[in-house]
Amino acid sequence: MASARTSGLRRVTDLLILGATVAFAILWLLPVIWVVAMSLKPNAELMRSTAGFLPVPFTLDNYIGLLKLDTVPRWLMHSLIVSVTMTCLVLVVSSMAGYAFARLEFPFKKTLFLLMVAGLMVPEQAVFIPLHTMVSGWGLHNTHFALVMPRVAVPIGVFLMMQFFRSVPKELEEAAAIDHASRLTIFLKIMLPLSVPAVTTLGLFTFIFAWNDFLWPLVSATKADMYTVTVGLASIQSNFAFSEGLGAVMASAVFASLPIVLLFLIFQRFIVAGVAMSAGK
Amino acid sequence: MAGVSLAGVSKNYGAVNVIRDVSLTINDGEFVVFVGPSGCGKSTLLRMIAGFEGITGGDVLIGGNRVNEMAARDRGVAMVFQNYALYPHMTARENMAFGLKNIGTPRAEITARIDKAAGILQLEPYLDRKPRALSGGQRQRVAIGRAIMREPDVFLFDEPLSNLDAALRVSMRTEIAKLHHRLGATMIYVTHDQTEAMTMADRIVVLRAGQIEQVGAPIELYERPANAFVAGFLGAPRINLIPATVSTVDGETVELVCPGDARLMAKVRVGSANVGDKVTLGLRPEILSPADEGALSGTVDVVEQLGSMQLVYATLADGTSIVSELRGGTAPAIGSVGRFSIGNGTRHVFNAEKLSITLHSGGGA
Amino acid sequence: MSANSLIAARRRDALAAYLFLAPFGLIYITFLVYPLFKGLWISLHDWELAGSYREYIGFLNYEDLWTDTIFWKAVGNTLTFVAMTVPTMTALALVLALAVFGQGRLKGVLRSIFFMSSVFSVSVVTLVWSMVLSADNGLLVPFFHFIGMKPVNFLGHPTLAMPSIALTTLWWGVGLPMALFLAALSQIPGELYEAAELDHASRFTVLRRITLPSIRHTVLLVLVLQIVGQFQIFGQAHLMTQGGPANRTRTLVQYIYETSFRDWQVGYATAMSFGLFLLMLGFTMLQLWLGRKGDE
Repeated sequence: MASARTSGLRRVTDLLILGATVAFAILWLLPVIWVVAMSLKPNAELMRSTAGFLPVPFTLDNYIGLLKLDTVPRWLMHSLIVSVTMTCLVLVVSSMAGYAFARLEFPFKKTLFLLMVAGLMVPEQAVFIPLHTMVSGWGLHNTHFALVMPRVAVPIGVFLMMQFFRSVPKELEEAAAIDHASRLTIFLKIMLPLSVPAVTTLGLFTFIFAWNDFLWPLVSATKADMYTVTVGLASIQSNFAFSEGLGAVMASAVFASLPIVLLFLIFQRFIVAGVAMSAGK
Repeated sequence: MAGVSLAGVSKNYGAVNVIRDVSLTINDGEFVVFVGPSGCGKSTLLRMIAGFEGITGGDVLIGGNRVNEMAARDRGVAMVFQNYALYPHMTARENMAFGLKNIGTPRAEITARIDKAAGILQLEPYLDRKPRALSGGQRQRVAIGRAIMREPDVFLFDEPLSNLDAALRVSMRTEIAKLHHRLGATMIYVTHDQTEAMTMADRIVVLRAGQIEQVGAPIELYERPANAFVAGFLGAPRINLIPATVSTVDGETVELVCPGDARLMAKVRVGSANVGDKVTLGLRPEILSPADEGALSGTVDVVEQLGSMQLVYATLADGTSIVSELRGGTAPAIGSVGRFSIGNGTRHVFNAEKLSITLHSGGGA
Repeated sequence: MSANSLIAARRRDALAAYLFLAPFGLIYITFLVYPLFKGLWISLHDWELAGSYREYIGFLNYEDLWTDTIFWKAVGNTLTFVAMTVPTMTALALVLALAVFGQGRLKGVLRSIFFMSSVFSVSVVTLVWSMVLSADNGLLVPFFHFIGMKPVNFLGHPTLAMPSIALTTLWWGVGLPMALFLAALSQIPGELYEAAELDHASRFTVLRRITLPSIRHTVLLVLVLQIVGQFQIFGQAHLMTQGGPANRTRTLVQYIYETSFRDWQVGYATAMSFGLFLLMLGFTMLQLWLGRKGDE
């Protein structure tokens, strides 16, 4: 039975590949596991040796110390405020503009659309210095406003929402038009409720982006008590003597990543769908 | 209540004319079906009446008022869409209430109308479900319910049954016909299905390439098609169109020579045919049947057993395919050369321009 | 019920459209369009970060770029980094995608693991990997002791520093391209594989003749996205090596950042950033062109 043998062989190869992938995944996770383990060990132990992937001896002192500190919780709060505000604003602004481009007819539509698409090609590095000068002129560095506003008009967000609105059957709007719904009613009561999946995806990506944003907060939030958690952690890295409070540093890293990892684990599906969506355009 | 008039209506996209000079009067309370092959402009015409497509030329009148420049919502029309276009995030009840809410109808009035519409359409058990949780037929009924709610003067249906399965299509057909009877409103219904057109319409409008081919009651169009296209479009199985040459003319009676040198007589309007004219003979399958003796002969290709009858497909000497009905008896063997007799019924004759020159008993065109 | 409510409706629509676009438009103009032109203006000046010293010097900043050895070093380093990361990242993403594609809980978990490292912020990633690669108390130290070697100081090593940053980047960034490949793989109709199975195609043949040709557009897309993305490398180098040792890992964006915010030469830094912009513009155009081709 040659065919039985080949399919048996296939099974074995399948298992081998899966085994190798699992092994690689464990290897992939090791740095994270190691860091988490260190964050749960007393500093005295870490001074002696950092080896080992299990938190023995176990302690929560590093986290308790962290919460007593003024810095990390404050940075976390800034990150939350900035990320949530940015996400909300991006969603509002993008869905409105996306709807206009997807479904409304108006003079200069093509030109305006091209102007927006052109923005896709401008990397942040091309504008962050003049932006910094501009915000300096307003005296607004080290404010939430400065951290949020330059990130609100994201062409890709408009693009995603536009793609989504275009996929909604036109007849729905025609039915609503016969039903005496105004443009605003159509947008608020028909289109927005339908766009929950797209809004969720865009929202998640914006939130993660906002949380991890580095270059702009680094140059705009220069006072330690206005740092976001990403910039704050960076400052710890360059200032702390690692051996002194290694456990505390590791705990800060874990603490800072917790919200975003949780968000990821809960909403994975939408994130993966979002990747597929942006690839589909 | 209101009638609809189209006066020389046309529409072009750039240089392409999708609707050409269409004139038509639809009476108040009439059920009119626009039918035609895909791309004939029937949906476009409907959407022009609805107000979703601009009008390039001519006038659309609803209830005697010119509505060319009027937005869809002000025209007093309701529309049932092919894909239902129900608001997916609203329950059936909310779908139906949406339009009335937008014009500020009192809540009690809305509830009363929903109850009434739900009663007519037997929707009561489904009112609090979302479209997702409804079957195709139920969605269709909700869509119709939504259309009823505002008590419009004119109902527009855009191929409303094409997404349903065959059995449901038949039952919804009857329901819509009943609804029309009950409401007495003007209804314009677009379909590509000639059976729907034949069964539902007070009058059928046959469209081709953006123009009206013929308008009339179903039976009138079936019995007296103005041209070969209309004859071919209505009736299933399709009418047999056989090329022929006029060999003799004697007043209204002509002799036609068909493929295989078959000779047969037909009646045409006096003076409409001359000896030697190339014409097309139209014979409905029901008047053609396999027999021992018959004018036409052809090679049998396929026999379809339908139960009540058999359809016998054959090829004439010049390659023309024909189909005939056999009620009772044994069908000829496949591959054999069979003869086909022509029974009582109209022998349609179309001239070289494919226009009917048939003389119908009782006169008329 | 006015007779020309259609025209009124159209006018209302246009007005609505502008109102819908206004919030985006205003923010877009203020925080992107205006700074872009302001940047052009600044780059023509000798412009200090603080204070008010600014002098118009024409294209002098751009001319200076030609003779700035550190700038060219940074360009070289950036290109090296791109050359190290882009092919490996694409290959690894593809291999991982193939390995974790399919049904089952285990594969779902594997997908999450490989994707999860991309949600960390750059400062967390660099913190983790600086620790892993540390010669004092790094993850590999016990291993070096075990084979009787002195632990290697990866980040302080002239030739190993850049590959170390590349490795870190690989770990951080493979999730997104992997997800792109997974999306592409799921688009391949299953019948294709079933037909190949009936045609006695081997696993390798299926990969080479069916899978890879079906996702070639995605491969191109990933390559271009990676090139554009990796060109902007900043945080990893800035936080892990500070550009050292001996400028070996100083990248373009890092040099721009330092010129502007450490050396206060805003005009010169802006000129450099426009150089980077032009370079990336080329790649982005390529990406859009490929994207459009993919649609056909």
